[in-house]
Amino acid sequence: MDEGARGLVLEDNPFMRRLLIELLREMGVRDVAAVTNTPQALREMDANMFDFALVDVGLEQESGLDFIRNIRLDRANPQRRMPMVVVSGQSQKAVIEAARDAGANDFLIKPVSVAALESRLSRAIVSPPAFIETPDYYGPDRRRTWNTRYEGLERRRKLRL
Amino acid sequence: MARLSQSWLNAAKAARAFAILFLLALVSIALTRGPLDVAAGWPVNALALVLLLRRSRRLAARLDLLFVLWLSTFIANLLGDSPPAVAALLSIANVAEVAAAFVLIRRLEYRPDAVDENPDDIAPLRLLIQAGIIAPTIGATVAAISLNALGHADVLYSWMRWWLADCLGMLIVTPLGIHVRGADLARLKTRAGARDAALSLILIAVSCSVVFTRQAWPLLFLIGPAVAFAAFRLRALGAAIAIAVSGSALVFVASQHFPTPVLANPLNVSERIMLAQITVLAQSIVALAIVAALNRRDAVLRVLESQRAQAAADARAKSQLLTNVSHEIRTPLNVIQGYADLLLRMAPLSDRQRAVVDDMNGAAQQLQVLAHDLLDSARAERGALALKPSQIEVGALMHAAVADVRRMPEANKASLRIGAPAALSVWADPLRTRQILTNLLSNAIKNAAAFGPISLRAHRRGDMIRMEVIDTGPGLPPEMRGAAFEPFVATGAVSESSLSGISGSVTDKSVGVGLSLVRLLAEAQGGAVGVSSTPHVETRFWVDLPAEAPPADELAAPDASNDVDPSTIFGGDPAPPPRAGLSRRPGES
Repeated sequence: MDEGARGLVLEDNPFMRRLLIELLREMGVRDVAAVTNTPQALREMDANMFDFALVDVGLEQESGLDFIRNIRLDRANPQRRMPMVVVSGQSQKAVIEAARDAGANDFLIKPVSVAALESRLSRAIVSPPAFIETPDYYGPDRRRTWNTRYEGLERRRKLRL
Repeated sequence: MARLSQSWLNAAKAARAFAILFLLALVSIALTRGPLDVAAGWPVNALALVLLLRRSRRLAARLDLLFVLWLSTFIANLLGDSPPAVAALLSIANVAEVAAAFVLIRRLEYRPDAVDENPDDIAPLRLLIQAGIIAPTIGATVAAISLNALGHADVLYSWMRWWLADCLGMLIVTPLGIHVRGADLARLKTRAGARDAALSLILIAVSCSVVFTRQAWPLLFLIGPAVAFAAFRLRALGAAIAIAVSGSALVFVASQHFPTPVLANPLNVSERIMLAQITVLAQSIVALAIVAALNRRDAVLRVLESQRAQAAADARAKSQLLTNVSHEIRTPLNVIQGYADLLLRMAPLSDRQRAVVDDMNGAAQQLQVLAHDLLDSARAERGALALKPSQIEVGALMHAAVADVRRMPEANKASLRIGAPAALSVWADPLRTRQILTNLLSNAIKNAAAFGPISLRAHRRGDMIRMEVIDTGPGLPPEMRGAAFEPFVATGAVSESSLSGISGSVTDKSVGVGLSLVRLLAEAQGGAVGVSSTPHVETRFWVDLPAEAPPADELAAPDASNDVDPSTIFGGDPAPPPRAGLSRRPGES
C-alpha cells in the first residue's frame, strides 16, 4: 500500500473506528481521517482529497450506503469516483446487493483482518473498475460475470417478460 | 346557557318517553277487557326497562324515567276506567317491578358487548331469567295484595295473571331491546343475515299456520324448532323476534272464543291465555339458552384467538430480541477479533504470547459461533431461512462438512470417517445441510474425539435419507436424550467418567445452540432429528432429510436474507463462506 495514501474512515462505533485506524496503520496508511457521521465526512471531503474511504453500513442515524450513493450521484463532487469499501457486520445477500447498487467498490464483513482489508483496498485502488453512468446509478461497473452464453431474448431479468 | 339547553333537552327526552309509554299503556289497557284486568302493563314495563338500561346513564335520569312510567300508567289506568286507588296501586306496582328488574340487571353489570372479557359469563340467560322472573314476582305481589286490600278477591288469580304477563314481556321485549345492536342490524343487511331472517320468518309462519289450522292435532311443539332456528342463526335478535311473532299469534288465538284444540279446548279464555303464555315462556327460556351457549362459544373462541395472537406476538418479540442481542454481541466481538489478528501481525511474539492471543481469538470465535447460531435460530423460528433446496449428493456434502470441522483446534487428533453409498442424494438446501452436518460433527468432536473414531454414515429409509454421526464416547444418559436438541443443554454426559476427564475439563462440553439449530434447520426442510446412545459403545446423532423434492412443491422464492459471500456479488477470489467453517480464523478472508 502506498505510504502516502490518505484514507477516510466513517464508523460510529469508537472501538471499531480505532481498530480500523490501527489496521490501516499496520498496512502503512498513516494519514487517516476518522469520523462518526455523514456531515463530518462531507466536511472532511471538502477540506481534503482522499484516496479511499471505509464506510460502515449501520451508522447510528443514517445508512453508510446513503452516504456512498450521495457522493456518487453528486456531479459537482470532485471525489465522486473515490474508491469506497463497505465494512459491515451483516452478510445478508440483500445488504451486499444494496451496497453494490449504492456504488460501493467492495464489501468487507467484520471481523476485518489486515489481509482482507489489504486485498480489497488494493484491488479498489490499484485496478479501479470502469465507471458506469445511468440515470439512477453512477459508480463502478457492477457486472462481475460475463455470461454471454445466455440465449434468451433479454438477458436482464428486469426486462424479461 | 349550556345548562339551560341541557335541561331543555332532558325535558324533551322525558316528554318523549312519557308520550311513548302513555300511548303504549293506553293501547294495552284498551285492548284488554275490563278495568281490573291486571295483565295490561307488561309491554309498558318491558319497554320502560329497555329505556332504563339503554338510555339512562345518570341516577337523576333514571328517576325521571321511573316517574314518567308511574305517571303514564296511572293516567292510562284512570282512562281505562280503573278507580283512582286501583290506578295508583297498579302503577306503583309497575314502577316497583321495573326498578327491581333494573337493579337485578345492573347489579350484574351486564353489558351486551363485554361478554368476551369473561368467557364464563352466560349473562344473557342468567340475567334475563333473573330479571324476567324475580321482578314480576315483586310487581305481581304488590298488585295482588293491593287489589285484595281494596276488596278484590282471588289474590292467587290476579297474581298469576300479572306475573305471567310481565314475565313474558321481560323475556321477549327486554332481550330484543338490549340486544339490538349495530352489529346485529348490520348482520341483517348482509346477504347471509337477510337469508337467515327470511328463512326464520318463513319457518315461524309455516309452523304457526300448521299448528293453528290442524284443528284435530295438538301440534304446538312444532313452533319450538322454528324459534330455535332463529335463535341459532340470528342470536338474541332472532330469538326475540321469533318469540314475539309466534307468541303474539299464540296469545291472540288463545284469546279468541273459537275453540282451538291446541290450547286445551275445555279451558276458559283466561286459562287458555295463561297456557299460551306459559308455552311462550318455555320457548323463550330454551331460545335464550341457545343464545347464551352460542355467545359463550364465541367468547371462548375470541379469547383463544387473542391468546393465539398474543403467543405469536411473543414469539416474534423473542425472535427479534435474539436477533438484536446477537448483533449487539457481534459488534464488540468483531473488534476483539480484529485486534487479536492485528496483534499476531504486529510484533514478533513469543510462543507463549502467540498462544495467549490464539486462545483469546478462539474464545471470541466461540462466541461468534454462538451469536451466529442464535441469529440462525431466530431466523428459523420465524420461518425466514430462505431455503434454496436442490438435489445434493450426500458424499460431497459430508466431505465439505469434514473440511469445515478440520479447522477446529480440537479436530487435530480426531479421526473422521465417511461412509456414504455412492449416488445417495438428498433434496435440501446445500448450505444449511452442510451446517447441520458441521454442527453434529463438531458436537461429536467436542464430546467424543478422545474416545475413538467418529463416523459419518448415510442410508435410505423410505422417502428419507438418514445421515448419522456416530461416536464411541460417553454418550448421553437416557434422561438427557429428550433435551439434547434444546438450546443450552450440555450434551456431554457429565458422568463420573467424564469428570475424571480423559478429554480435559468439563467446560469443554458443548453447551450452546448448535444442536437446537440442527433441529430447527432439519425441521424447516421437512426433516427430523434424533439421538440414540449406548455409552462408550455407540452414540448416534441422526438427521432425516427428504430424498426427493416433494411432488408439486410450491418452492418459495429464495429471498435476500441469507448470508452470502460478498465475492459472489462483488467478484474477487471466492472466500470461504462467512460461517461455513466453525473456526474461520482472522487472516483468512
